[in-house]
Amino acid sequence: MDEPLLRIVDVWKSYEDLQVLKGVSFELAERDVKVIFGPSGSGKSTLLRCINMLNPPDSGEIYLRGDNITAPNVDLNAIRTRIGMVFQHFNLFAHLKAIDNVSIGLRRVKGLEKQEARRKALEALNRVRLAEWADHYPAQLSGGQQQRVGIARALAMEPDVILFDEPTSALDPELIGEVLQAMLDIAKAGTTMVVVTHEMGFARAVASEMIFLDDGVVIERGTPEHFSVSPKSKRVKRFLNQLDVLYGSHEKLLKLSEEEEGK
Amino acid sequence: MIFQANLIEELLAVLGYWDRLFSGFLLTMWMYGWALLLGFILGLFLAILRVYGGTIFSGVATGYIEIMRGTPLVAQLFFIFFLPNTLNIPSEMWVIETSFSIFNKEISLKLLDYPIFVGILTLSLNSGAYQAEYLRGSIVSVGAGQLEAAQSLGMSRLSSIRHVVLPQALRRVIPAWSNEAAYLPKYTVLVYFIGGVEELFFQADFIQHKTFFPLTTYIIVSIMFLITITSISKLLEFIHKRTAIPGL
Amino acid sequence: MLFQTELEFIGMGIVNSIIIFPISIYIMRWYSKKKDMPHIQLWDTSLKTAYKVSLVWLMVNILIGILFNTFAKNITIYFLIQYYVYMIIDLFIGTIVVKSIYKKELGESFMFVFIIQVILFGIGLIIGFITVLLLGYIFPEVSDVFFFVLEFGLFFTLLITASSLLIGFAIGISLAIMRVYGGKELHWLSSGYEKLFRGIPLLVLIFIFAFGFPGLFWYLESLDRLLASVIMALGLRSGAYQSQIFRGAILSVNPGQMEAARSVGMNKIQAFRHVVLPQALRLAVPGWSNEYAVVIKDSSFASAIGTFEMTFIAYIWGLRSVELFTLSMGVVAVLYFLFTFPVTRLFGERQTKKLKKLGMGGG
Ligand SMILES: Nc1ncnc2c1ncn2[C@@H]1O[C@H](COP(=O)(O)OP(=O)(O)OP(=O)(O)O)[C@@H](O)[C@H]1O
Ligand SMILES: [Mg+2]
Repeated sequence: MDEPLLRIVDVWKSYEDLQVLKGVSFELAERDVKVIFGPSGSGKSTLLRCINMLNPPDSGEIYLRGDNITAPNVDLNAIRTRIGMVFQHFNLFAHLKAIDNVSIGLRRVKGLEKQEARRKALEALNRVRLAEWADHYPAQLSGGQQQRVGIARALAMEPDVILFDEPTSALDPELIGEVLQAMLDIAKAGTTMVVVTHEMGFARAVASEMIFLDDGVVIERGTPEHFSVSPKSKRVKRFLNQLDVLYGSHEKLLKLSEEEEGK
Repeated sequence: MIFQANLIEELLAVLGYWDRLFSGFLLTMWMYGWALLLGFILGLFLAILRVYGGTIFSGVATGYIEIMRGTPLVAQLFFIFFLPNTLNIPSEMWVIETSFSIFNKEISLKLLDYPIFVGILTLSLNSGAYQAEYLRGSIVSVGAGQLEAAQSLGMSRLSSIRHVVLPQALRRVIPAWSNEAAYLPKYTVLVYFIGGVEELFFQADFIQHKTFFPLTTYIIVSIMFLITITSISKLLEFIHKRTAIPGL
Repeated sequence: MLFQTELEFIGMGIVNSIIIFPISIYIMRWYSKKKDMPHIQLWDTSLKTAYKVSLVWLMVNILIGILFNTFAKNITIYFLIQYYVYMIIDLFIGTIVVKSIYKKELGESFMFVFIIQVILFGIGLIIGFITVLLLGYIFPEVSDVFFFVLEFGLFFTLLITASSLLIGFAIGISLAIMRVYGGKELHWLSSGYEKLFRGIPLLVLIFIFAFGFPGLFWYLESLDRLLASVIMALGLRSGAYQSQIFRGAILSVNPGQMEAARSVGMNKIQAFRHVVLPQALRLAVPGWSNEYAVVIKDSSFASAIGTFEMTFIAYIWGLRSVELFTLSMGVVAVLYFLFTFPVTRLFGERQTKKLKKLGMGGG
């Protein structure tokens, strides 16, 4: 059997007294889009931060294309170039223009020439439809545009997998659509992604598998259809109901922006 | 008192020593420049150590900063000045002198000898501790998210600090730091305590004893300091405006 | 040899009980205050916090112990024991006094606080006593300069500091009010004052007052005249800095507070006096503690004109030989540190954080 792109084996993580992750395992094949959801405080962000070793797990292993990245002597910086990350609060570099935000990794880490880095960065910005905003500072961009720059920043490094941590939850409702659209586009283009989100519309459109995390444990996993038709656990059902009440569904938003594109 | 004496006469008498005031001013600015620069380098180093240094290094940096900020400059100066003597280390220094003439007056200026060296060193060590605190504040205010984002791109910790955190921190620190920078010149008068450094205050003392017009002399020196400090302030403000970036 | 008679012992003890206890209680309260609990609830605070408070308080007590022992160091050991006995008796008297004053605020936990205080106070005094003895036997020279400076310099340093801070307070708060609420002219006046006195080097100011105006303090003796010039210079300069501190504090009181006070029917002055000022003074505490440190350190500039204070005393002591000079300056630096660090620690940044938690500042 082929080695999966990302294999997470029995990951545990605690902050001081608080046990946050209690043995999480899953696998991710090439071109997979995995959606992780669950109530607040269930450990979703922690899981992502374990995967790119910003907070190394207490125990358990993580394999990226067969390399154990939790082993003691691994070069974490080299690993992180292979794992992209998109943050809930964007975390764009405030002192750099959009284009420089995207190219800084290419130049400082991959050591590309200035022109080459700029060309690649523009390409990435193009994929999130922001090429004409390249020379603006983050403070001059809307939240949705900032998050798309964040996505381009991760894309430009051409990582094996991109992690998204609630990329739309800090955005005003009318800006969510454009970010989801950008994510849809790159997912359809074959990018492997792990997405923490409560946007069920997005999940139904592209997720190959969904994972429901609660209190640091995987409660239930399955296809989007599985969760929309017949979730087994009561907690999942209750949670999905609450989501519908709170957020509604953004499927309409997605369609809207597709129509706009068509014009 | 001033109103009884002939003000003009006093002014002229004191200003007759303009060459001394001028060379004193130059030496003051010379010491200020070095103290600011060395203090900044030390401060930056201390601030980075304090924020990112881990328990031991940040403890050492914190200890240094607190001690320098908690003890008087005068005591620090005396302590450093007499230290070689106590430890039996020779304290001879290179002496650098320069001289030039303007308006037919020969002005000779000692730029470095042991007292001047001690003055610059003390001021740098002290100012470094204060500058470190400003820098630390601005580094902390940049926030952990920026560092994490840089690291998530695969940048090393050092490179993240250098290319992402510091450029923002240095811009943010300018307003608060300007205060320290602009007011540092007035602390150079401190070297008066060890004597023999012919900076502005020394010259004022000299002129005062020659002319017997202390009030006029010190007021003129005060005005010189006020003008200097205001100009530095304005200059830094200008630089801040020029380097401003939206949202920072 | 400050304490000659038993009466003086008792008097000192009572003063201690009355001063030290309220201070300790306030320190305890600051640390244990929770958002909705105005009175002390030590039982509820975490062990870590209680431990930290105790540690700081122990440091303060050690300092007090050293000071007491300094003044009593020429007294025989029996006198010292007697002194401690009086101290402890007075602690109890003080407790009863304090208990009746702070009854409501302290509630049940008072005995707990009291016991901790007595224990820490005792430990502090004993450590202070041991320090004095050890210093004397192991480092006779260090001990000599340490107590020499304390005996002859501390009083003047504290006198200069306290007087200058007081003058600065009066000037600073008036200027701040003028600048925030006054018209254009007043604003101009106060900002001019700030620029002027922050820009002139302290040494120049001291020399101006000491030598520039020969008739300024004509009614004083010559040494006192120098002292007065120093206080004047430091006070006027501190006024400029304190004006900044209070202005910042007044401005950071939420504007809604003023509006709310006006909406209850207070006039502008009442609203300022009863609503804005009390909050502003609390917000000014961190900056003010910093200013205290600046003033006490800069009081050492007075030695330039030969005014008695700690640095000058250390200077005189060190004059005997060059080797001793470094020692005396090191020791005097430690002394200043003992007087600045605990204060800025307790009332500085941490206090700011506490205030933020209470929803004050940054409005
Ligand atoms: N650095 C940290 N130190 C201590 N506790 C933390 C830290 N980060 C997170 N936690 C705690 O760990 C738990 C899980 O946090 P996590 O951020 O992973 O949850 P989440 O599922 O992402 O929640 P949300 O939907 O609110 O983002 C929470 O209770 C949180 O308080
Ligand atoms: Mg989260």
